[in-house]
Amino acid sequence: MRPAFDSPRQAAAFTMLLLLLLAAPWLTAKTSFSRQAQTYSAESIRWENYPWIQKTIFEETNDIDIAFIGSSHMTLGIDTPYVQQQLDERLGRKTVVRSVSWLGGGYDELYFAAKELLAHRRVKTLVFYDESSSPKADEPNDTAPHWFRYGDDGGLLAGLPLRQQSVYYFAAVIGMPRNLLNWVIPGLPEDPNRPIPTFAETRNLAVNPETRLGSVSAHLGFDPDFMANTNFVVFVPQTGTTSADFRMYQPGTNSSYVFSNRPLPDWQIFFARQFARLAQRQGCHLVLLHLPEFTERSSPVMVEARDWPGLCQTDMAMMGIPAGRLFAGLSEGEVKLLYADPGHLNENGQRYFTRLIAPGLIQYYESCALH
Amino acid sequence: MKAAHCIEPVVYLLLIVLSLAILLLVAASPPGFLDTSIVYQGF
Repeated sequence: MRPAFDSPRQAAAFTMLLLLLLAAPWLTAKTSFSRQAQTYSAESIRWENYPWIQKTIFEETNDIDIAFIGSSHMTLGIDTPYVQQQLDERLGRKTVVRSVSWLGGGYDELYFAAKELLAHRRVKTLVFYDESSSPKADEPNDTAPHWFRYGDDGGLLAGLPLRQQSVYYFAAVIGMPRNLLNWVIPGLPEDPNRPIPTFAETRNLAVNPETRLGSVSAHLGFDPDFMANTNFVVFVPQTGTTSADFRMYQPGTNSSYVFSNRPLPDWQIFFARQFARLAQRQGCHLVLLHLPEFTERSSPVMVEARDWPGLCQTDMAMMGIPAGRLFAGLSEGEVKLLYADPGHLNENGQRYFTRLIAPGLIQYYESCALH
Repeated sequence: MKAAHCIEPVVYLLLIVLSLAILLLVAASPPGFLDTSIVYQGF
């Protein structure tokens, strides 16, 4: 068999290359190069497939009244223009409501995206949700190589077990070539006549999310395997559920919430706390909004992994409507007409859910504004 | 010449250590880290 290397010199060169690749995030963090190569390459790299988010974070500058932030469950679950219209009417002024969402869940991504958003814009109320029954929910977010920059964020990891620190370090190793490329060719402008539609349009058959303040209204029928079912049927549920069914968690008194206390990886709890502290430092009011999944359609309670306000030691409102109440009187087939897959509401579900939760959310926003 | 003979095992040892480190990092990370098409995948 032919040896892998023709000479020891060749083996040494390859070893040095591996060493350099593995050490690259650490080396850049130790030099001023990190600020050039990593700090804001992110603007175009991180959000490249979410151009509307890049605009929300980096181009708009006014205060945001309510920002919905989180994974795809949030962007598909909330009809952002409707909330903004209702808030405009309620307050008698032009308000600003936005959705900032991405692929995949996890408090890690939630923390880093919120950090970026809050560094650029003042947000009065931040509505988030991170629970999901997806088997990937307890893995670090797949897109970490796109946003984790060791030069900027490495110091934060000190509170995590070494194994989990190494996973984020590896994400920085994988992301380094993209960061370097963006350093060489910085600030590639977005093409306003971009011929390639965004993923929200091709996968979810939604209109461009930029025209809906970041909300994705999926024109998809139900598919249990998360495949795109293009057979979308407009459906307006007729139920007795009203906005009075909206529930807010009151410690010790509320039976609408159950905390499963299921095992969670350290990084989820670590980044949840970091996220809560960040929001508190920035003066944001936090709302954990329960987004219903298909599997909980008959549940009389909302199940959360933890008592998050208690765990994070932060003022945080937990709100939602138990799915059993939300879908009361609907058959299983009718509930399916509200979902694109077991985890995501489609346009029918988004409209139905948002109209029920908006009054309670706006009322909470107003009560916070008084303090 | 003698120095080169001494360095050779060190180079191969380092190569083995680095390869193992990469394998461990890959094993500990979600498969999606190495999926270059990931940004085009789903909401």
